[in-house]
Amino acid sequence: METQSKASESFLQRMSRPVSAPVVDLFRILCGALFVVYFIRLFLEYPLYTSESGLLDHELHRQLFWFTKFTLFYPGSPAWYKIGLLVTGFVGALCIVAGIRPKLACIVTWVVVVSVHRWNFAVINVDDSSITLLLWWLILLPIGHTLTWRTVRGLSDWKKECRSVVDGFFVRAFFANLFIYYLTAGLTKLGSGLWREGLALFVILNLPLARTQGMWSPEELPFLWVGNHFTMVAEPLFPFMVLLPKHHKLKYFGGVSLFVFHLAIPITIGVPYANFALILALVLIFHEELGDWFQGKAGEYELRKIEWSAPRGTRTLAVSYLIILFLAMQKNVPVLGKVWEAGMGVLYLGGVAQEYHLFDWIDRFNWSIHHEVVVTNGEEETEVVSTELFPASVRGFIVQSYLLPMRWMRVPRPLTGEMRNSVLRRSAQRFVETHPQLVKEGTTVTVRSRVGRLDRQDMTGEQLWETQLMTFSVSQGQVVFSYPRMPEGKSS
Amino acid sequence: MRDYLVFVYLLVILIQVPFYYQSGRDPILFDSKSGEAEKKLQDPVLLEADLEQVQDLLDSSQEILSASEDETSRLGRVEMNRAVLAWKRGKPQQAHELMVRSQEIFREKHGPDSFHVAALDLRIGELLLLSNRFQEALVHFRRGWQTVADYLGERSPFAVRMRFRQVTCLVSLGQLDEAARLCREGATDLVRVAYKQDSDFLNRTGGNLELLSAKGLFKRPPDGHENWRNYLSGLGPQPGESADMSDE
Repeated sequence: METQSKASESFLQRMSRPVSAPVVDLFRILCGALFVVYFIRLFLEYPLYTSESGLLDHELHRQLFWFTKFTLFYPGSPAWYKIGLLVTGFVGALCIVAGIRPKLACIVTWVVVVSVHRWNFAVINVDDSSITLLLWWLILLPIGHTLTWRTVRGLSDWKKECRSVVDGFFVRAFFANLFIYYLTAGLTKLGSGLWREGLALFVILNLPLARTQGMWSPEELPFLWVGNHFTMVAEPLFPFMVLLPKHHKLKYFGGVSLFVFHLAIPITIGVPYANFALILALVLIFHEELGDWFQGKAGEYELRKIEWSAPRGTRTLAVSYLIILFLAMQKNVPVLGKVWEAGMGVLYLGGVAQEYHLFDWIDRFNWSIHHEVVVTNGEEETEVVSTELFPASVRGFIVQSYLLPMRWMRVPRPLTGEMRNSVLRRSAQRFVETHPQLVKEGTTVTVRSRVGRLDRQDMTGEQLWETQLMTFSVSQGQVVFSYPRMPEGKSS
Repeated sequence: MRDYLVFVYLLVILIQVPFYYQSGRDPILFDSKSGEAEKKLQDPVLLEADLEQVQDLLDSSQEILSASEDETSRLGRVEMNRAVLAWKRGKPQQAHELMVRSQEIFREKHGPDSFHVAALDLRIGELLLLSNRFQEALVHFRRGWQTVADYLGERSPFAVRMRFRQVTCLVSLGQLDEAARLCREGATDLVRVAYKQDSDFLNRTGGNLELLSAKGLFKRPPDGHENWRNYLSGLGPQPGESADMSDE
């Protein structure tokens, strides 16, 4: 018993070795800046997703995803209320950057972010869950002791701050989270046929969710094959960087590789927040090197240990979270696979639901879709770019996924029909509202699509098939569908 | 105050539990019972006790829907499963009625042009075909196939299966030219998805192809294979593998 207690004490001591306080706060500032940008995006996307008249039928979604009802948003809530919540989160993000009551700011921002995610659940992806992840860790990390607005105003001695150290328990706990992140993202790709064959990257880059759709031909396959296999090898290895000693050459090599890898993804595919979140993690991974740099800048000051102790229970909470997170990532793993759903449920209840199965789903979600939108006014036909109907973004692709035989979020069967109709209705209604000059009384809008899967048999989409997606017109200011005929009793 | 943060956090989690229980109880129970019934129905060998159990599961599913005043298309799923159960109990007429009822629900909830309505047309067609009501079956196949192919793709296992069910009808009705045309259009896909089909389907389809081939309307099986039936059977699920006859 005594040995066990000594072992846990020694483990705790090793975990709590001091880390440079300004490094932790640099991480806070950069994360805060990312949150600010994230909220700006939420504002820009407000008409598309958060608003009641956007592409999402929030009332229906609360039926389909019953577990999303517990949120600060509610159906029928006025726009000022919803925007007010977003503004609250935005102000919280600014406070995190400035170091004004940063813990409280993190909690407030986190509550808003979790509420947004539940409200817009159907289109939530790893970008969003990465923001929750960062906020969660910032709540636990010893932030706000240095590099705050007080430092900028000269109310605090920056040199003293630069030579401050603080308890490193949560920094190392965050590293454990990185291990779970990268090992799940990396190893689960081995279960995908397309990844193993070296075709996954080619397919991903040619899907509508990617920025580079249509830019890659089979001639580039050897190059992308290398990228495909680099991903499979590098992802599971990245977190091991944290175990390497200070200034180790391999650590620098890993750091540069991680940076390039996570920069390349937003450039070619999208998903910027998840990737920048992981780039920001480099600040903590290189905390010793950066700590030396800060101390060097400060000069001959004495090293100061900031008296900060973790609030009671938070260490146990962090360790419990990591264990549950590990279990929640065990989907499809023999034996452990039985607990993933329960683990995910607990994480969801705690507002820290995460999903690190990144692109291992490519064999199922390799659908491509292109639309041709034609507006007919009498004899006159006008072709409109399809991004006017569905935005060219990852979320835009996710919305369209509900038109296809794939479910981004698992809509219970057979309610996929209700979901599909709601997307058609909403997109049509929105199109009419946003094109008043083009769509008038009696105007007919026809949308034809080319859909299909990109895979080994059809790498370039030659076998996509044409299908009529919808035809609607405007009558007495209302959208009337002629195809598909909508069930009666619910207007758009 | 800071030392109570974790306590408050855990309290917030606990406060949510009854709320989630209340919101999630019915959908979770429905999905679990319905899912279990579907899983059992896919079993090729079902004893009377199993069929009774499926019946109970479906009854409970329906009770959950009634109690929660569910207005979605979930009831359509229950009726569809009841139809499969009736078929497995050797009651094709009852199965047909239940499928029609299920289709009505989907028509009302999803609209007449929806995938589920079309998929049920094909299921009804299959049921009628297996009862040797070829002419009626053909009407259903013709009505539903294109919508299903538009949604899932012509090359999807379900669409391919239903194309060749249609071939069976046409051959039985003596409309060999159209049957041959459909075969020519779908032959490559049939070979590709054969491993997901059951032996009964492959045998019957192989027989049709053989007949068309003998009349010179369709090609011979690949070299080294005596006839289409043997060729397709060889491509079917291997021992230990099961056919996938799902429609979505």
